[in-house]
Amino acid sequence: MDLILRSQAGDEDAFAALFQQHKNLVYKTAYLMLGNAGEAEDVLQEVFLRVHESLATFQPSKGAFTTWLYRITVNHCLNRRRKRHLPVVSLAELSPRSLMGHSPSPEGRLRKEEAVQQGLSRLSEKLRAVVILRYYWEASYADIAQTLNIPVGTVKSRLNLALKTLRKELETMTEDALAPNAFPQREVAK
Amino acid sequence: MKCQEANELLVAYVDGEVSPSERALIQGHLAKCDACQEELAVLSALQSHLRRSLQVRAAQASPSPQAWSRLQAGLAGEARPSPWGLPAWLQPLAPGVGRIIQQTYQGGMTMKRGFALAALAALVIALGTVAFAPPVRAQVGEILNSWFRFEAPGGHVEVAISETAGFVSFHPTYLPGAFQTLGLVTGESDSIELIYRSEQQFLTLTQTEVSGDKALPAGREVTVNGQPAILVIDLEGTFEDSHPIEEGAQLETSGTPPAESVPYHGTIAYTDGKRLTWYAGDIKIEMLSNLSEEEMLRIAESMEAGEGEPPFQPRLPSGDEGGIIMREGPIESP
Repeated sequence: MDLILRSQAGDEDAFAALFQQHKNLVYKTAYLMLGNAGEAEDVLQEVFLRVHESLATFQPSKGAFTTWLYRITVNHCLNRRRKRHLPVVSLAELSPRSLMGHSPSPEGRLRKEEAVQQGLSRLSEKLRAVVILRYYWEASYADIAQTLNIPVGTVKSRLNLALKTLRKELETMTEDALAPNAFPQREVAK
Repeated sequence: MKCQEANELLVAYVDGEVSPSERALIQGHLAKCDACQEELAVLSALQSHLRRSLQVRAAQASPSPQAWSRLQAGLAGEARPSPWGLPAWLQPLAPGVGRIIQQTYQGGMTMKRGFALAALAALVIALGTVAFAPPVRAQVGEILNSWFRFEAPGGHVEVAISETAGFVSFHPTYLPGAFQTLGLVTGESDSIELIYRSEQQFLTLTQTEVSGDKALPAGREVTVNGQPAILVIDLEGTFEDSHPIEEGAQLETSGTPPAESVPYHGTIAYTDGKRLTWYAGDIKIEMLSNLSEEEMLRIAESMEAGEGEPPFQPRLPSGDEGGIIMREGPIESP
């Protein structure tokens, strides 16, 4: 918070420190959203230019700085996705054989993760945003709602749709990648 | 609980984002339903793989070592223009530096001085706290040279402005709830601008009389009441509802200011701005807003020509009515 206050007061060293502190948040979110290092680098620049310009308007009473930063980052990524048609890997390029296997061996898990990544790249940007905020940044539904300026109910329905879409995509890639007995049982009660 | 209901909540259940009552219902259902138990296991496994996949992917991602120096270069070289087109009509009257003045009523009139802005034309703010209630009448009044009459009958501050334009302007008859009117008139004889905002959203309507070629900008083709229009999205900028006025301007009050405060909501920094442009006869209308496309189109299609008498007659405030008269002269703080 001290860095933010000092940055708002025009302390450029504080702003530099703020950048170093939060650059990974912005970059990794952009990279996961856009799938491209060059684009992520551009978004990093754009977001912090925006932050520098608008920092005076940030009010801590209205939410965490990181929430504000996520929002700007996701919006920039959504805008970029609309402007550019990013290449989508066709399913034909995947080898179903390499994705099969009941045993959760390291090789099997890696291939499943590649399949998941392919599925993620096919999600709409709005669904991908909630998936990244939830399953990478472990944000609560309430935080995601505040970040994206949507109701919590919308967060729930988007995550539902995202997982069901991913599941459907993956089922077409491998006939047994998601068989229940292929995965270790886990505690679900919370 | 039925399977369909349970299924819709399973993702949130695994994420620990259901209410205690929902959790109890789901657990009760799972105890009796093998299919939903299987579905739960599949979703849990998928979430596990999602997490791992994202972690693997993000582990490969880090900014370049040159990111900060690149940003420094960007900060040094960048000048982002505000979306505000500053009206030029007061420029000849107020050369020099303008200042941002924020006026609020708080049981009396107070003024705050804001930042000095270099080489700005002066804008005159007419602030209204008239809550929007359809149908909205055109806000018309009188501009006499640099004078704006600003009245406060019955606790409301209404804008008295006039169209020096040679055309009848359009006004929306629908606006989303919670929007307030901030009236701004450019004073150009062929141009008028109306402004509205809520706490986080804004809308400006710039109307210009155009003779000759009625060209539309590049963008996505849409229609407004059957007329061709263009929508441009993904605009970034800042919206402010306090604006510079000429350094020589003088504010005077007469009578008693209204009891109600004029709310000042501050700046809106937006990245989701949209501009909708279309023609209504010879009038080019440009709507700039961060509302949704659907709302913007609905507002556009509600626009009506403001003909007839204004809702109130502008007059000098006197007695207990309160008001502000702006005229050229040194700025005075009360």
